[in-house]
Amino acid sequence: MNRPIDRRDAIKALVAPIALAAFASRSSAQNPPPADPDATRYPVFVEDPAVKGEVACVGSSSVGLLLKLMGDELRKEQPGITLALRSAGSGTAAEALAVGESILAPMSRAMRPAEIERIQQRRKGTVDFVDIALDAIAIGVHRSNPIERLSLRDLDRIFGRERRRGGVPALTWSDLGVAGDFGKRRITLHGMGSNSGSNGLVQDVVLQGGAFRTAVVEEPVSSSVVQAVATDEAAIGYYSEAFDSARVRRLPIEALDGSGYLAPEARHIRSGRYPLTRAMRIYFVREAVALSASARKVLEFALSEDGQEIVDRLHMTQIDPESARAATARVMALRVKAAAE
Amino acid sequence: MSMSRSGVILIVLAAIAASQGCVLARSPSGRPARATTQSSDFGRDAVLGRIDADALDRLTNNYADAFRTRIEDAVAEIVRGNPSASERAIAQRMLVESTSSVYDIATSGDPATQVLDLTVAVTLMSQVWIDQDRVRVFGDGRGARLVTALREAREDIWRIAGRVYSDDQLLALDFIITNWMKENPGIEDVYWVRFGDMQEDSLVREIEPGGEYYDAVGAAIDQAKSYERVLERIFYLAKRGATLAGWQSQAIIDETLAKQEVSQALQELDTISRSVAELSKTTSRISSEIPELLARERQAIFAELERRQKDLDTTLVAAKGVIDAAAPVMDGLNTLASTSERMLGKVAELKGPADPDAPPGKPFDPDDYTRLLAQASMTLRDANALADSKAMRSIVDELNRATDERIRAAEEAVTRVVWRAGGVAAALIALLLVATAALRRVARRTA
Repeated sequence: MNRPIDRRDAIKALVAPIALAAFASRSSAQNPPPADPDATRYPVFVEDPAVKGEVACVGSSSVGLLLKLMGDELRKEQPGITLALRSAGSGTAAEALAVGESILAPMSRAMRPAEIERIQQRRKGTVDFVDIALDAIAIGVHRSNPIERLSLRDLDRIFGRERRRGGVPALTWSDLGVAGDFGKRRITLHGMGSNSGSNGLVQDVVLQGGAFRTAVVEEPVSSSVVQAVATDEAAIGYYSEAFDSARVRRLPIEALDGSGYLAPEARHIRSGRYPLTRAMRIYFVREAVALSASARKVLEFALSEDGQEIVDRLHMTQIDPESARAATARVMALRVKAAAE
Repeated sequence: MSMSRSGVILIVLAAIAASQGCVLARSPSGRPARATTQSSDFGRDAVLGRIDADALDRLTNNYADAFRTRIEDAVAEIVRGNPSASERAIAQRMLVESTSSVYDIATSGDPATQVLDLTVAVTLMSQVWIDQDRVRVFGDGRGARLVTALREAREDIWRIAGRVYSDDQLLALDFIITNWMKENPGIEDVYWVRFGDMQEDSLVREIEPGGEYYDAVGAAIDQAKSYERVLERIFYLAKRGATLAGWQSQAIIDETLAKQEVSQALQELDTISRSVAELSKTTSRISSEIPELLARERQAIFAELERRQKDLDTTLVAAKGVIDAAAPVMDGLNTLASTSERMLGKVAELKGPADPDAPPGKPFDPDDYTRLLAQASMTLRDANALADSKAMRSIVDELNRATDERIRAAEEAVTRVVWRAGGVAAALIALLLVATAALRRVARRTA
């Protein structure tokens, strides 16, 4: 028998769906769908005993260090693959690749357009690369220095002779807003040698290609820069973030996207927001020139969990797993020569 | 997957070795020539070309002497006028260990290995003392000169290394040293760490004669040359041995003095010395007054004893007086007692024999009074007998004797005090002499 709808039923009819929706929403918030477990993992390297051969690598010593470690570890899993590594600086990488002296070109800076063009003309293929690690350049001051952060323009005023970002030269700390007696101190500058990747990065990003001031004292290695700053209260220096000193404080630097000031931390380095970040990169030629299967295995290994563990061991910053998986997929799709070479 | 530290370092070393081969051009004689570089901060332009093993040997020897001078001056700055035995000991140990280590390397076999080892050892020393801020142990800015010295020493050895190795190799070496520090946190005693320690036994394989690395740095020294070099090194080290031995002795002395128990003993000795010195002043000041003071004290003590004896004597005399004064009373009482007895006898006679059937307790009963009187008489007789008794006299004698003994003991005590004061003064003077002699010895040792 049909019962007439009273007010309470009407209210129930209206409230029930809302309550169900709210409950469902709450349940959903409390129990999010299970995350993809692979999302935070690096690809697993799969050995292929059939792949054998020597892989010639010429280029950066920084990336060369990584490659050497990776190559020796790879040999445990793939005894047939040998890395023939020659570390003579990033500057030699492009030429060696162009003339066919190497298959892989490790570099700690981006290859210049002219270098890419020359390789592509000579090899009749397309230059490609994978990033296997990241490094950042830290800006450090003595721990007694009261300055808190610096913009890229400030850094250009400090280190740049041409000051392409504008402004007047910053010669004393008061020129950067430091008050009191400390502000009267003349800034002493320390940096890396002109051939170093660190130097090139600062020159490109901070000085926008301009020249360094002649007052910059060139130190042979990063740890020398750190210690120079550690022993001079008025000093500032740039060096690889893998090096540190209890007497030196790293300054937050203006983010590339203008969103504030960032310290050289792994998350900012990986996101690319920290402005003085460089990729440890391996260049190769694809398409027209088929990559050897052993060279492809080297790239796979560098991007794998095992390879990234070595990056961590060298106190460099790992690439993020998602990038590693994407790069691995790209590498796996490369055309290769016959397995046994 | 795991990989051992030694494995990592071995591989890194191999990277150096591999890179070595490509950056150094071989000279016709087989000796390698240094690759050109545009970097000018090492003054490389003047030394481009072949690195001669002898030249490298001289460089490292000169470097060792310069290092010693720098550290010696810095340590002298720390030690000079520093009241802390602990800081002096740390500084002296640093001087001995660092210079001994550097000389040890500079007089070792292969000049190329010397450069590597010097770079490693000096860099580690500078990282510990500067970057890890160990220099703070000296406080008050005493360590500032040591910071400068180590910084300069580090700059110099990297400058020398820059004449041997390429920029890439220096970069790799920098990574190796820094990685070693990161993997060995908290190690401060780094003086004797060598490049070989960073990759363990693999160093032998990597730099053995004929190996790529060995060839690359031009260390293929012929036998005659090597003998000559060994002799030179013996003379070189012999000339410096005495200084090093002296520093070593000083370090041992400083460390001994800085040991807690020795420090405590010295502190106590200092305290005693101060006390003795103070006492000696006081002693000399009051030496003339001592007899007078003691005499005054003695007089005061005797006066006090005398006063007390007088009081005692007075008491005793008073007591005797009381007893003596009591005698006539006793006699009177005795008379009274006799009279009472006689009277009681008369009363008894008057009363007649007592009726045993008579009812007791009348309101007035003369028997009660007679009993009381009899008791009083007995008491008085007893008291009198007691006063005249030997026992009472012996008590009084004992009292007198005890008083005399106490007076005599007090006199002896005063005499002993006087002698003891003199003895203590003599002992303190003797102690002062001993302490002075001891301090002179310590002063001679620490001078």
